[in-house]
Amino acid sequence: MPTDKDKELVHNRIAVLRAERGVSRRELATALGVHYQTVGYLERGEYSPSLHLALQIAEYFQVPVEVVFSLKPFPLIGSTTL
Amino acid sequence: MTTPLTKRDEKLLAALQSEVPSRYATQSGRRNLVRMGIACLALFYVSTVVCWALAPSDTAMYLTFVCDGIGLVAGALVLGQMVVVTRGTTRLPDHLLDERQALEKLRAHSTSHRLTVILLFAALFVIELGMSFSGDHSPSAAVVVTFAALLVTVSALPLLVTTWRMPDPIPDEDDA
Repeated sequence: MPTDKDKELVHNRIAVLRAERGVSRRELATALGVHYQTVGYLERGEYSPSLHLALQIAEYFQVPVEVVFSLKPFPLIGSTTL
Repeated sequence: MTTPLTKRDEKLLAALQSEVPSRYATQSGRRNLVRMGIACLALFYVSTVVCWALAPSDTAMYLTFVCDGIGLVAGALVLGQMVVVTRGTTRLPDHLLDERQALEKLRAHSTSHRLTVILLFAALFVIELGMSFSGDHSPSAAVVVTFAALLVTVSALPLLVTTWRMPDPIPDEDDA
């Protein structure tokens, strides 16, 4: 049975997108107007962003918000199920 | 959003962007710092007890000065470290905090408020108890020292709560 924490957990691909685009945590944080530790906590799943911040992140990477955030875990790269 | 409005804001932000000292990068390190902070606060309560028991007297006066003096100096150093560790979450003005930090600040103040209510009830109970033992004799110095102890505790609580609860910081070298 999912716990309250699981229900609130929002999975994200910020670290993957950041690595793919060669953007440092500090650069992303500066662009978003947040502390660089906040980006780290987002990547570790220890903080779920507000809708505004989530949209800002998606806009920064120029992808739809569902590419960055999901309520279900993202499939691993190379896995057959998409 | 972290928007510096003045030169002072810029300096504050720059100081708080630096990395947390490695000894406070772990939960146990941070919680030891909180314990040290609580020990400093306890000194104020020692002087309170001394005042209620011995004031007015020279012994009470000297012990109060020594305890409060050590508590103030050591407490300032420990709380200063906590401000660095928490990156000023509870001390910076709201316009310098991002949404996560603002939420942390709100949670810390909410928890501190609950603890303050408990502390005030405990203080009320202890003072009533102390007055019932000492009869009409309630030294004014003891009242002042009690209020000083409560004041220092209440103002330090959000910082203690934030330091106690904060997750491990993300090391800078992860960016490499």
